[in-house]
Amino acid sequence: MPVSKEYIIKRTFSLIGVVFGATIITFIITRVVPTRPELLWAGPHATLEQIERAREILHLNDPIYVQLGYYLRDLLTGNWGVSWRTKSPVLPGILSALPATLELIIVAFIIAMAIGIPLGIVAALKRGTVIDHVLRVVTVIGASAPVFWLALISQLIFSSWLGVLPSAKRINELLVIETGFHPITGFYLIDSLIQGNIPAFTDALRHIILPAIVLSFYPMCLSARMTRALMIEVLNEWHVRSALAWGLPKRIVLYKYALKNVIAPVVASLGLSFGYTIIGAFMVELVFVWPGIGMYAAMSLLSFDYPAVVGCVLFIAIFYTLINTVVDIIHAIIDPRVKL
Amino acid sequence: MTSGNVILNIKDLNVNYFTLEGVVKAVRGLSFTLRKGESLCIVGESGSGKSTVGLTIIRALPSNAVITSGEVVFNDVDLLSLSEEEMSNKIRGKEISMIFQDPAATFNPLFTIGQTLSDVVRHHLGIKEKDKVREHVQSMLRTVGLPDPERVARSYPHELSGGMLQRAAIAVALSTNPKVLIADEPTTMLDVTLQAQILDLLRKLKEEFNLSMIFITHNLGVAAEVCDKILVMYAGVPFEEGSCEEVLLRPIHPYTKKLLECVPRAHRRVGRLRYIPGMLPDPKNLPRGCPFAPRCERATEPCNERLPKMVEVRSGHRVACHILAPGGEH
Repeated sequence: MPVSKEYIIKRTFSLIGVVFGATIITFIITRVVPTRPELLWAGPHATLEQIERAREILHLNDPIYVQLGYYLRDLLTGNWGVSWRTKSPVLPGILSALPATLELIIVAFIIAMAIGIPLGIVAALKRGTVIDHVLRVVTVIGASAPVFWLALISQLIFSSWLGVLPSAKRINELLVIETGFHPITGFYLIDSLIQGNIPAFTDALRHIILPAIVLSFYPMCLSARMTRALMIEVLNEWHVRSALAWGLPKRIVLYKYALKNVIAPVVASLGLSFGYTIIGAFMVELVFVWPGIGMYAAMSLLSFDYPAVVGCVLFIAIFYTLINTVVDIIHAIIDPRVKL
Repeated sequence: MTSGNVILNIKDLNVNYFTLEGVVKAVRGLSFTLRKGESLCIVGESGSGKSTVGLTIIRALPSNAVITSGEVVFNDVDLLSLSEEEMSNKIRGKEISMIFQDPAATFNPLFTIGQTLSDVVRHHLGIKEKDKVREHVQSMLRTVGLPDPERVARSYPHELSGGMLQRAAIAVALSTNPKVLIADEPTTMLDVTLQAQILDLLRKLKEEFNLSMIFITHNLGVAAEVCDKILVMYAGVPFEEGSCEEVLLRPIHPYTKKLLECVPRAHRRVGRLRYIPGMLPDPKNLPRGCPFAPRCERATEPCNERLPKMVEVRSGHRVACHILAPGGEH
């Protein structure tokens, strides 16, 4: 793999920088909001003394930079703090919610690429025709429609009116008990296949279709538009003309040669939109009661559970940086001119 | 001059480009013949339509180009009447192949030279066995004088120099053993020393592969080096055609004469470089008559009225000019 030592060092430093910056900013923002987290910590029936005690435990009497110091010190030892809402450690909480989110995003991206890239190619080859114009309008609308709105509308149509797909959760709990389904990796589609549990697989698939399609809308439209623009550009390049001049059939020139030039940048931009999709996943998870990180973060935000909120932001910052690295490496594998 | 000897016959070719600014008449009334083993040089300034001729022959024109009339007869078949499939399976790259001006842009940057070359070999020669394809690829790369063909085959275009890439492109073009090679300014983007090497190579390969060649260039020096016959074009119109010797030593058309005066010569140290005053006419707004008339010192009444027609002035030497070769009129 074409990865140099300098690249790894550079990436490691940028990871540290991004994580550090994101942590400090989120920490400060959550602390300057005028709320009283000690009330959440102490519970609804606490006495004044208990509340005062809670302020001490949470270091709320100290200046904000001292609070930050305590947090960073804990972080260096791998302790992401304890959720004020659930009283359980933040990191295991996030990690247990991770597979649900990852499964949703991965399925969404498979849909996005499987539909978006072919649509882009069709639009490029049929440039200027009715198909092209229709696709442009649809993709512009799709890329700009708010994801929570799409989520609500799709629920309304497919669950409420048509009643063909479930509107919430990852799997039918009754079915879990009946078939003895139990999570291994946390990816229900994979787990059910490992166990040979076809009814559970079908049910998990039916549950994931709506949220995944809703989530895939933005990256799908993005990849369709990028594929179209890049394909048109590549088709005008000399190497396409020379490949045709040497008599290679159009289908090989288009789908073997030109397509590869298109795929590399499309994958890169999709990778970057992966980060954006996590934000979309928050909305989608909330609407579809999907027990992932988005759900965890949203519940924490709504109850002023700041250690959990900062933990989520921290986690996503790390995740985002790692995704960027993966995208770089994929790009380098596809394009031999890229040296990392 | 039997027709059996003629491999390619272009008859009254007209090609237009449709652009947003208007119709560009890129080629107007071009006719020429190419005989077996002959090399013909199409000379002209940039914008004279010479590259369009090459792309028309193999029918690889951009989608906004339209061949409005004419015939391209190759071995008694009009290529313009063939289907796209027949063209790409039997003619393009197989019988008539092409190399281009910019070797760095000729190859897809994401594929190795070997991948491109073997795809062409597999498609046209129908060789399926991996070993045989590889063998053929390597022998072609060796034929064009590339050292270490195995390394070249494994290389991506950005890893090779312009000269090596042009050699590799020649290897691809000749790998199918074509009868005609169209070389579109193959040395323009190369250093002078490399130019000579590539020209030498093409001359050598022409004998070896028994090729007929169409050499497109703006450089009369290059034309003199490699060609048997020269065709001078200006703004899409043919002006003068004849043997290399005839056209270069006894030019008739005023444009050819001017062009020859402009060739810098090291031993004739004149104070300044010569040039032809004026510019090529705007291709969207061509003059009604001879396109060179606005720049021509000898232009008179008929020059501004009618397009001159090619007339045989001496044996095998044809010229289109109202003044110096009268009689050719539409």
